[in-house]
Amino acid sequence: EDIAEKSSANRELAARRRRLIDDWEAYRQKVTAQVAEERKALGQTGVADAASAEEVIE
Amino acid sequence: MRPFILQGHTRPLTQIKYNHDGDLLFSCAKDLIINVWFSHNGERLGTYGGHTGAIWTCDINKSTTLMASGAADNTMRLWDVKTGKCLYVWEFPTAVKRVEFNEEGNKLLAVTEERMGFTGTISVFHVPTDYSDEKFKNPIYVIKTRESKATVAGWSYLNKFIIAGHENGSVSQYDGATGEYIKTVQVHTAGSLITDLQFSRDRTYFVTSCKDSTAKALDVNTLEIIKCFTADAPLNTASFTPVQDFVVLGGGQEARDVTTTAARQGKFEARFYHTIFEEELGRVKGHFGPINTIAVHPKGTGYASGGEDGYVRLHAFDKNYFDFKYSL
Repeated sequence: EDIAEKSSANRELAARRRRLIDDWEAYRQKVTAQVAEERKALGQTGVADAASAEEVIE
Repeated sequence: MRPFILQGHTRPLTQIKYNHDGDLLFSCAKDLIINVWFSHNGERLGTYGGHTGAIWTCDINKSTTLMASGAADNTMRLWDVKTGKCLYVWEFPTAVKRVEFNEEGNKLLAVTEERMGFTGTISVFHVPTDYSDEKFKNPIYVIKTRESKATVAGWSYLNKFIIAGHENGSVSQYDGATGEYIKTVQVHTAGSLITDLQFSRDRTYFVTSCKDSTAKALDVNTLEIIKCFTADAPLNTASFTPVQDFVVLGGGQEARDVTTTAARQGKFEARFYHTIFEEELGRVKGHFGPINTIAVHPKGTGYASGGEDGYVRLHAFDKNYFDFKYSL
């Protein structure tokens, strides 16, 4: 019974964490897309792109 | 790995900062000098002397050519990183508590203290390229902080906003181009001073640390609280880590409250929290007094903390830090 209780608690915790990760990823995707759009409107490439370009040159 | 202990200051540290590449670490303290260290071995590269009051803050531009600093001698100074030469001194009626370059490194903000007849301000300047053109000497605009003075401030992505943290625990947002006031949100317990404000790598969200023992992550556009981290001691600093989604918090009981307690009870550890789950993961001991400032290496390979005890502790993350994963 204890084991059953423990595993159900673990399952709940895992489900909660998964939900938090999904929410976070959805939030980050939304923001990243918005920023990319704003940068494009200003004729800039993304900072991320610029950073990876730098890496290649090195 | 054992941290490098950087001994180069004789007074409490106030702010430490990595340059954009992460090969250098700059440290400011109340002892009138700024030190610069190699981040891979903790050796001192040089010092910047000239300020005549406690140094509160510094920032380095993206190309590591210029460093700006602010101090209790009521000046903001611009330095040539390589030669250590002071290039220009801006004078204010009060102390300069925080300076920061914008994304392009062409503008510089200075947060000034409120004192005897002077309101706290956030002043924005052009970074000089041509010193004969005198327009950089005067601010582009000056934000007079409302009800409560600003203690910290920084630029959002695209310099869209200036975000400021205040003495009363609120966070306010201003237009980055004009300095026009947009809004204020009471984020922390009313009356609790916001001690630090650091952005995520892409500057779309930031974390504030507060004397109310919490740190909060906020969205730069909406100023909505997206995450909350609760500690058991007043916080002086907070910083996100790239690579892993962690946030590092530093603080501890105030010096005046710990005379009767041991360092163990002073809660002087750096604490790691998971940004998404808001759960505490671990603590790193070492300082003999509160941690005043934490900076994370821009590539996420380590971090450094500066304490009231006058030491900077420079840590490289172990393999198990990078291997760490939550079981789901």
